This record gives sequence, C-alpha cells and structure tokens, in this order.
Amino acid sequence: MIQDPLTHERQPLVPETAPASENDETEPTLEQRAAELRTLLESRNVPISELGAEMGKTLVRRLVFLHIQSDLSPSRIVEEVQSMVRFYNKFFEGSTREQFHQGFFGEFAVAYALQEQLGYPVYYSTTEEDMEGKVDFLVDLEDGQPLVAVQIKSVYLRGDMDCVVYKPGVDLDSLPNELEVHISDRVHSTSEQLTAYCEEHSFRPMVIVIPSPDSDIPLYNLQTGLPVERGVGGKDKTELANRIWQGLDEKGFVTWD
Amino acid sequence: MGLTRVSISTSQNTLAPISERDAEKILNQLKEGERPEVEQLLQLLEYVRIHPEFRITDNE
Repeated sequence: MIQDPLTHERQPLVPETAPASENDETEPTLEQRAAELRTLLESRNVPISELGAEMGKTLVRRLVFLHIQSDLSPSRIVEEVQSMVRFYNKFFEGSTREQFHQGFFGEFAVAYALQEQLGYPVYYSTTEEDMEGKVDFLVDLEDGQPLVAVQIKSVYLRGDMDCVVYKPGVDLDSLPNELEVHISDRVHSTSEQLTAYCEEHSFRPMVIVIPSPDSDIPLYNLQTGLPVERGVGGKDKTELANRIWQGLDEKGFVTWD
Repeated sequence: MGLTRVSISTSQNTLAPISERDAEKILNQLKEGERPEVEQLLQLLEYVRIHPEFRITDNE
C-alpha cells in the first residue's frame, strides 16, 4: 500500500481500530460483582436478610458521614451514594432490597431533617433499643422531657400525605385509608413493640411515616439520600422538615409554654 | 449507670476498612465452608464494592 507522505505515521483523531487493552479481561461492573458475591454467600448458606439489616444500619452511618461530617464535594457524594445504591440494589435484589433500601435512606433523611434542618440533636439507638424496641434513633427535643424514640416507616404512596408524625397507641389507627392498605400490618406490629418498650424505659414513642422515593410525591431521593428539594416553582427545600415540624406541633411533642 | 448517647454528628463510620489481604482471607474462609463474622462479611461487601480489580472467583 502506498503511504501518503503528508500523513504517514501521524496519529489520526479517531483511531481506525480500537487499541488493544492492556489486559483482555474487562473489569466486571458493580452489579456483576454484587451478584457474584451474593451467589457465593448464598451457596454457603449465609442469610442475606440478616446482612441487609446490618448493612442498612452501617449505610445510614455512611450517609451521615458523607452529608454531615465530610467536606467532600456534592458531585463526589452523589457518585459515592450512587455506587452504594447500584451495588446494594443488586446484592439485595428481591424482597430484601425494598426493606433494605427504604430502611436506610428513609432513616437517614428523617435524621437529617430533624438535626440539620430543625436543629434537634439526634442519637443512634443502642442494639438493645433497636432489637427489642424497634427504635431507629432518638431525638432530644430540648424541652427537659424524656427523649423521643423514633421509628421510621418509608412506604410507597399514591397521592400526597400531609401528616407524617404519629403517636403510636393514639393516632396510628387513623392512618389515611390508602396508606393503611400498604403498611397496616408492618407498622402496627412494630409500633406496638415501640410503645411497650418506651413505657418500660421512659421514652416518648413517635412513628414517622414518609413516602418512599418511588411514591407519587416522595420526600427523599435516591440520588443523594437527602430530603427532596423542590425549590423551583414548587414547595420549599425543607419540605420533609416542615412536615415533621408541623406534626411535632400538632401532636403535642412541642409546646409553647 | 448512665448511658453515653452517640450523636449522629460525632460518631465514626463504624465499619473499619480492610486490606486486600484481609478481604482475601475472608473470601477464602467462605470458600472453605467457614462462616466469618457478620462484620467481616460487611467489610468484604464494602471492599468488593470499592475495588473493581478484586476478583471473587478464581479464573479457570
């Protein structure tokens, strides 16, 4: 073949053939690695649901670190959260995924709204409080009263729901009908545990029910794990915090005396 | 005795990172039919998520 003397040995803008990779093996994707590890664990009879509960708690702390304690850039945080979402979505595929996913993102979003947007100190529950009382975390309303033991329920919801704060044993029985269909059994059994535990240990029980990210009007998102921002032409950027505040006020958790 | 509460503002990320050697050790325990602690399994999960070059299955 005759070479063009003007272009001979010059590097074209677009290579005519793709360069051979240094290594013929392509790296498996996040999802492939997650699936591979799950297959291995299942073959060794490791209960995936047990890992889901533990990893959920760990990832709440990871989100707290990313959004509250670290000085990482917003884009780096989103990258990290998305990596977590992709990997663990695949790893906990199936019924465990919903439980896992909604659990840790919902818990973090509420803790963030309470502390970072409403200004109340939030504390992790102990293992005993978590296991026996189904307490997700505790919040100090700084009124000299006992700590509030909070249980979060993140549920798929069509339409909107103004009320997010409930007092178990008082008004959880009056959940909106549509919500009742989705969560009645799950909420009532664990809220009874919460109420009994709080009576015994002098906490104030509170259940916060929030629409999950796949709901019509979600209050937190899966891009960042943070409460939603609807600053443009809609509601303000602290929608979740506003609703919690409204609930605390209406349900008598805060008073003006 | 009073309980010291752990604030979400000050607590550390509880899952300590592990080295490649630790990850391989946990993986080998699994492959040999042993059952590592839950915390070790969580550490392995995070290691695999963060390190795409780490191989779970041996190449034939």
